[in-house]
Amino acid sequence: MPRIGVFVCHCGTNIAGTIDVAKVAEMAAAEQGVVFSKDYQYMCSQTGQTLIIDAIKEYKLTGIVVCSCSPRMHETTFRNAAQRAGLNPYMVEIANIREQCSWIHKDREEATEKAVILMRAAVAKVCLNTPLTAGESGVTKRALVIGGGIAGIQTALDISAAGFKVDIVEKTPSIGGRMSQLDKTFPTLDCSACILTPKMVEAASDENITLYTYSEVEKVSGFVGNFKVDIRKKARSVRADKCTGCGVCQEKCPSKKAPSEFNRGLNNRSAIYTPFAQAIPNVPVIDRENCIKFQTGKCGVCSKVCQANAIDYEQEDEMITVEYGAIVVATGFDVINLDKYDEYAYSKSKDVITSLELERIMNAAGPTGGHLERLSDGKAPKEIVFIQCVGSRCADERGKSYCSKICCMYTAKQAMLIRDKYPDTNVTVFYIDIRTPGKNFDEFYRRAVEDYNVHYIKGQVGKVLPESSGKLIVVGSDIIDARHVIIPADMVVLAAAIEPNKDARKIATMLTASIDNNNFLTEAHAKLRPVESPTAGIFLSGVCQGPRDIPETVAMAGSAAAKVIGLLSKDRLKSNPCTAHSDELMCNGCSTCEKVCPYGAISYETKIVNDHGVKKERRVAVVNAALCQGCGACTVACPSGAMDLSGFSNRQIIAEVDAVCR
Amino acid sequence: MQIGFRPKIVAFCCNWCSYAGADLAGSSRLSYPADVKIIRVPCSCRVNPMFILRAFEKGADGVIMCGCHPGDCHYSTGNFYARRRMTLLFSMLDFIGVENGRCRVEWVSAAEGAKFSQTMNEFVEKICSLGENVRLSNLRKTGSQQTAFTINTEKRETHRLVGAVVTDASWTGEGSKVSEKEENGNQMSVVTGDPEAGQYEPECGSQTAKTEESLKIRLAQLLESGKAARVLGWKKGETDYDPEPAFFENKDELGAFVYNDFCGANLSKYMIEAAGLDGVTAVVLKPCDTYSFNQLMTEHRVVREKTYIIGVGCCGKLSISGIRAQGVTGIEENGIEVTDDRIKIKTVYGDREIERNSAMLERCGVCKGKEHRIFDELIGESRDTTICAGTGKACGSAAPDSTVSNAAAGRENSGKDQRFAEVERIEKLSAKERFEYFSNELSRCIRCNACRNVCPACSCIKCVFDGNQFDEAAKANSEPFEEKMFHIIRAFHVAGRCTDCGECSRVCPQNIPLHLFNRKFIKDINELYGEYCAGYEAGSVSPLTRFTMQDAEPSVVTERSKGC
Repeated sequence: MPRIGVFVCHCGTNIAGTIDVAKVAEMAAAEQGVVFSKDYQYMCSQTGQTLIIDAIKEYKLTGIVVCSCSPRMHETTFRNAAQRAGLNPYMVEIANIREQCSWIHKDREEATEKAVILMRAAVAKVCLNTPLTAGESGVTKRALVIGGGIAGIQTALDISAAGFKVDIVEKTPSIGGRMSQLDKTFPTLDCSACILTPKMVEAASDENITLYTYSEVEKVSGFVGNFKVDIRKKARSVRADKCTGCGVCQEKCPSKKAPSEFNRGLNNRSAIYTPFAQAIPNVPVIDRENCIKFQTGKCGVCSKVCQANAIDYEQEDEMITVEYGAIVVATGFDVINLDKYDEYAYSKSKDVITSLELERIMNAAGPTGGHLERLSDGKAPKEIVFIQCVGSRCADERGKSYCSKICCMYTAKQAMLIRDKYPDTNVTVFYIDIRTPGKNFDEFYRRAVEDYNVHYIKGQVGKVLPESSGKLIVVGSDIIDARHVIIPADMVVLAAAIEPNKDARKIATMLTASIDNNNFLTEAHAKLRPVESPTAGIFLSGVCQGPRDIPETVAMAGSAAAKVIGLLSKDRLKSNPCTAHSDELMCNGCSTCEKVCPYGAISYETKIVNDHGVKKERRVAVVNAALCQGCGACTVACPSGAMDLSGFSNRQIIAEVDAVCR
Repeated sequence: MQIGFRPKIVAFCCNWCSYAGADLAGSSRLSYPADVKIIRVPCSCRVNPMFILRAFEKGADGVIMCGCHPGDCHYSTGNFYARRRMTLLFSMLDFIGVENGRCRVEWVSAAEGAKFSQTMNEFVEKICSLGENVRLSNLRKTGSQQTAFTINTEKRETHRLVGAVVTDASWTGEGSKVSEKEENGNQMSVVTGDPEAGQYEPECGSQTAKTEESLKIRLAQLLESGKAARVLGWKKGETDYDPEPAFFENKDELGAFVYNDFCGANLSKYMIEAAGLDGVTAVVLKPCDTYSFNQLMTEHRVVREKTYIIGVGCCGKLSISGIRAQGVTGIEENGIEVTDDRIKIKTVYGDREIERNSAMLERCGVCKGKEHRIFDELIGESRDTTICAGTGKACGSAAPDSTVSNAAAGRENSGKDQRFAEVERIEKLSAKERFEYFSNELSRCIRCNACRNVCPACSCIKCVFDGNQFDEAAKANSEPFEEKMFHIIRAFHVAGRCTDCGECSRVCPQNIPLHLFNRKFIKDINELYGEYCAGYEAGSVSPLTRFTMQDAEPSVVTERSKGC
């Protein structure tokens, strides 16, 4: 017979304010199997836990129900308490009478009645709970970082510093990411390349770090501590072991019509190329779609001029499979497509550019050699208008609902730099709000306004009209002065919203990591576990989780690295014991469950089954508990009910249903 | 709306998204009625249709299931399976007349506290407008079996939709063409049997008799040569018209072997037993039986290497209850003579003669085709037995002088398309009418389990309804709701696996048209997930174990009925 204890938490007044907790405890005492019930002010407190532990010991409880907040909050707390009292931690059930009762209902009687029903369901379930023991598995002492931007590089460096091996997979030919495209960084105006390139070199020369550039993750299987990842090393058509990085091939390449990805398509690059001069590794790749040799079979100039004989047209994609203990996602961001914002004439005028394009124009290694000039006619712009929040904080379907967070600051930076270098150029910024939370951020913005005379206008721009004269007529409103503003500008810069890299969803799906509607990966807890994915062993670094600037990204990278180090330092991991299991006496071996298992955890074996004394050879399903994550897809696919899920068994759920409908 | 009505509502929420969404609704103090009680499950794919029916059985007025948005599942694909399962289940509940909207699926992310609250408010409002779950609970409280039965006898007349019409089918010899062009790659296509097969026999009755002779000779050869350790076929039962499946181990035993117009029994299921025996079993399979064999192969229940399949021709099988339904009683021993289009019956009350098609099994009138999907050799001829809508004529019976276009016109309304006619007819009824129809039909169920025992898809070593995992064992006859639950779940468990062999309806002693449940699922699957025929080939993947990102939402059921 089960001996159940029910503990009803007041949660101060959070629960007791709406629910008659004493009555819930009293009603619990009348439930079958319940031998002890009590209400207390704070069950999660030291005293509350002691109360539970003492009751378990005194009344020899075989299971407990805690009526309290969400199990997502304190299930672990109470499980640990049970364990300290010598009770199996999985003999604990939580009745969520706070989030799903007291906080949403006002009528005391109604809320109390519901709390009693929720308590009954939990009691009914716990009576059928069975002690579960977590299995153990080993840990592969190697980490994978997906994405070689500043987030990925910093994460890898920090993991390596603790002595663990770490691989970076970067899909472009070089590590560096978005930061390598930036000219200066706010609020210190450091040259971006000057602070990034040493880190890139450090990562490349670190003996614990292996770089897989121009490579992509194709498949991920396994689970925390034991991931198996297939990586596609795309054919560079250049042998990295021979190439000296002299650059002659790029110079001599006759095909120079491909738009440069690094320069945001503002100028062209050769078909054989390294994205930028400081690229790591400094080994070019052949872009086969633009290569004359690959398209027509005739050319081969690069091969002829290469002294090192490094060109290899025959090279093929190479697949490698590597095992990892932990995976960090650092896939970063891109700016949104501006097709839906054509009132700003981005597609119509070359002189309407995004802020990231302005970064390239301002950069000494950029398409204009660092001279601020109009892309249409090469003239120096005298009147520049910045438009903020293009696609950010957008109420409708066109853009993103969130704030891209970095735009206010980089716009202040760009405006300031332009005013500093070209004092005769007027700069106007249209903004909705200026958001400058951050160390020295507001001071920086004030400098732009006060020291550099950047005109900030609170209001939005309705239209940008390109004129035949080359002028861009910016029609906006100033909501403080309540007037229309018309500015004949030479250049318009759009602070386009940032969004997660387009591959983020694909990667999240491979990793079975959660992802939100905006394609940002979801953290395990918004406040308390910001760098972990809800999927064990998957960690998040940088903008893939949400908009953030460089210092925040670097901090997050360090924090993700710390979590990875914590994981890799362990020799054994405890696994979730709530896994599926098959009853071989009932299993038909029909293979239906295998087809719906997302983890490949189910296999079949033919064995002698002793069915009540009759021995028969049968094909039966076997679940690998280490691979099973406990989703339960198999349990419903199984027609005979042979497959069941520990912790959420058919009988347990049926008991809950019965209790709720009683 | 009933005044003072407080509904009981069960909400299954996945742990990762919707349960967290409900928590967020709580921490944001976004209220919804206290009638909603949440049950936490790891994933929406953990929600078994049995949980939902159980809730209804125990008095729930509404059941809602919430999970992560498709594509956002914590387990990556769980909710895709859940989506298909729930769509089919809801469609079935709608089919049997449970009011639309009593069950619902909603995708709520962990960030959508507001949506959770709004969804629950809407759902409770909907359930309040529907009122107490009377349809299911009435049935639960009052059996009303007697009334149901009388209503039903009338219904049976109308139900026998295709058979009651006069036909003058003539043999077209199409079956032999099918056999000859059979190109099943992994089979030995040895066509034996009647050497004069090309010149078909016009008389179907004597045709079958000839086939029986050929089979006996060939089966004896197989046993004698040791090629087969035993034969699985039919042996004469108590009467002419109830041959039963049997194993034959030697030539002497074969004397009792029969193959006649009443050999409707699908032998495939018995091959599960044969798989456990030593040596090769030769089995005689009609074209439709081979679908079941393929499906069982897919499910690893039969062993191809230990099977020698003789594909036998089929001219459509007769149903004794179909004969009796026409008032023919007191049939004398050896008193049934079947010709091409007539059945001559000697009874103690005198001779009777009826149309052959009028007593054909329903499934033969809507035959999937006379092509054996798997075989080692073929014996005997088949003919098209499908019956056209409207005319009631056999589809294969185009007059010799008819033009091609006439024949084509006949094809359009052929039996294959008629397969779903009865399902469609019921779909067009109002929910109340549907509910009454099925209540009447199902209340006759005596839970004899004949449907389950004969069904080649119901091949579980131990049925869930006999086990204690769902607390369902030994409850069979206690409450009428059980029958409903049993038949819905049985149909659900064979959905995507059922080959529409119609054995369930054939064996039902209460003449419940059980095949309609299976056909409803097949029709839904075809419409929602693309044409799928279980057993068409071995190894095919059931629509319930796959998905697409763009699958229809379960709300399609509600939307569909709005259009009606």
